[in-house]
Amino acid sequence: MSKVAIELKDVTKSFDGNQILKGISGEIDEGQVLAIIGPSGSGKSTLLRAVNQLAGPTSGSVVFEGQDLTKVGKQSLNHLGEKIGMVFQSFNLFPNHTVLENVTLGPRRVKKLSEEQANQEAMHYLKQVGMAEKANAYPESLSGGQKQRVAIARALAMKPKVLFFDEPTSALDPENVGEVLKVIQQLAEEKRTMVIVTHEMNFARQVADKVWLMADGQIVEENDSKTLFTAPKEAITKRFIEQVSLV
Amino acid sequence: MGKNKMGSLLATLLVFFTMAFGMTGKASADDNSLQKIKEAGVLKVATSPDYPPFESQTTINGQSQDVGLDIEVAKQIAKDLGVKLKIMNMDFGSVLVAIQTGKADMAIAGLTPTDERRQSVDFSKVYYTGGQTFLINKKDVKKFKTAKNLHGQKIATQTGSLQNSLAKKYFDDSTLSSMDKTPDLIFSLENQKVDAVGIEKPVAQAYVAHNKNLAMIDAGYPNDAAESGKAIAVSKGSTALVNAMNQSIDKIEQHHWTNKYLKEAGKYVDDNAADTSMMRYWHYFYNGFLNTTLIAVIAVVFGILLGVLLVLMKLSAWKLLAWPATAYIEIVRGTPMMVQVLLVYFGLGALINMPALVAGIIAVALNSGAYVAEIIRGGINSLDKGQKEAAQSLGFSKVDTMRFVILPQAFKNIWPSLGNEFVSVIKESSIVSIIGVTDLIYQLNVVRADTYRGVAPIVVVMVIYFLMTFSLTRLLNHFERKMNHE
Repeated sequence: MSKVAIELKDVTKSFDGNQILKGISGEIDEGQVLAIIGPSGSGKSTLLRAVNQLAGPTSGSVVFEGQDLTKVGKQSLNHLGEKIGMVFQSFNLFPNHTVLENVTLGPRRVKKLSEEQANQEAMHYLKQVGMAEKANAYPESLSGGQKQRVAIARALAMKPKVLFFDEPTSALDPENVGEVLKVIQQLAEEKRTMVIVTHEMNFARQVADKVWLMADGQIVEENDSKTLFTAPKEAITKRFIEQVSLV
Repeated sequence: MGKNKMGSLLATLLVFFTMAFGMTGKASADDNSLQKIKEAGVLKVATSPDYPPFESQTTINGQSQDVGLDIEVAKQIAKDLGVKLKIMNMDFGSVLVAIQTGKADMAIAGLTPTDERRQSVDFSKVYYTGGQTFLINKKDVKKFKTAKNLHGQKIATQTGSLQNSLAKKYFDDSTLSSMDKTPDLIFSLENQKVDAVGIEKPVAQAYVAHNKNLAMIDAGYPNDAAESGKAIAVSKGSTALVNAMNQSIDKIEQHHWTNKYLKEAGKYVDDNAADTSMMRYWHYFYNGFLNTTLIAVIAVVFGILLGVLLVLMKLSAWKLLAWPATAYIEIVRGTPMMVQVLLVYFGLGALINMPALVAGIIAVALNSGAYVAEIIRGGINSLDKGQKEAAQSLGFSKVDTMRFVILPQAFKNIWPSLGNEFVSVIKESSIVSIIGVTDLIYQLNVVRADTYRGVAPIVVVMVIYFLMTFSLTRLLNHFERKMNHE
């Protein structure tokens, strides 16, 4: 049994009295890839945001490195940003900074690295995602796939313990999806702890060690990826996988 | 919550006003009026130099100076007191406020000591009795032989003036109208918008002497010296100062100096009217342009700094910071700039002594800050919330998020709106002329009064304003294009 990186206990989230997450409990294992799949509106993205405290849970607890994140102060939460990296569906690169600055800003301002060291490290990660040549470009001149690869380098530069991906390919043109998935796959092979919310079923099946199928704010089925895709236990899982495969 | 907010808002306003006007009551409680002037060695006199021959401006050795009957009387009083004279120019409507708030020791501006005014200020004895007349067009001389012929006709007077009340009393069967500035009244007369203008005799004489289209007839009001004479106003309870002024006025009367003063004033009026080309007044417009530019530039720079501060306060999670910023923005945006200018000059000015120009700049900057804050807030709100989330997920502090991510993008988005704000500051700062800041509008009124020309100075000032705002707009567009290419 592998070590637990993050433990969720009965996490709920409500917006204006609407309960979006209805009691999520589960474990994110160290060195493994967890894929979260399920129909739109099932609460997948909300769950990621509740766990990394971008929009903290209404109730329940999130235990990371022995601390309940819902109870620690602002100061420690900022510190947490370094340890849980996030890659967004819409990239969210800073348009007023170059590619290199996008990657170095965090290490320099938060980790207080020197400019020289931050640049050196940033170039390493930009090379890893194949974006080193564009270091001095501004984000607006990049394609969606290129932007997302820079966003991944930006998250990696903070040397996070856990990396979250919130539908990383949903905003991309079809021809750009492959390059981003390839980068994520490489990261999975490095045995990084990752959580990926995705609609790419083949990809989830390929890279994930464990899969959660969410529907209506709950985890309907949890299983290793092979079992879940080939022999789903729940009828709802079966139906969802069939529907997606048809597309 | 709404009710609570209103209550605190009123409380804030109340504190403001108590601060502003509390000083006044104290100043007049004990009479050290004369002693104070002698200790300071300066007699501060408020006037409004757009009323020749009582007071106007002229150029002597390249410097614009106040001249006229009133100025000579003030000089004599200062001389008798053995102190220096300091003339403070402002709008006519502000001269009484200036003595009530202690900005000036006395006001001499062709003031008539009406009962209404006596309720808020004290007056010296009358130093000049001129009598009332009507100005008419020369071609109407046969039609309007005496003032009696004006019943049922159109009569105009200066707003808030004695002529205004007299016309209401004795010509209630005529069509009455009023305007702020004497040159405007004359202009309507020349254009036959009105048939007659009720005006003081010496002023009418000056106009008739310099405008061949005009004629003058006696108003025929019952003669009452106290009602139509000129006196000097001081703050209530300044008996010692009134006595000293009356001694000087007695002296002036004994020596019949008034006629000498008027003759001298008439000479300046002649000089001014002899050459009314706008070129002769270029330095008035130039000074006005410099001051308007100075006010706008400083006010915009401090307005932006204040705006950033206000918006950071308003967006703060800390209510103690957010609330005052919100209240400030609401109050400033919900009240006219004119009121704010008066409050800063006379209210804040009662606590800290400052020149009108400084007060004007402060008022415009305080006003602009509130608008800039709202513009910046709009710019921040228009940003994708993903930007903030991305910064947060990287562990940025709030300050760093603002400094490196939010504000630079917000400023780029709001650049056109900030440019508009700059342009409107240039235009709206014209309101500071009411406290005597010598900006373009102020100079406009001075030149109009001096030259007896109604329209030409307006056109000149309009062209100057347009050139200022137009070149600024071009400049801002240039920077905007440059920014977008980066």
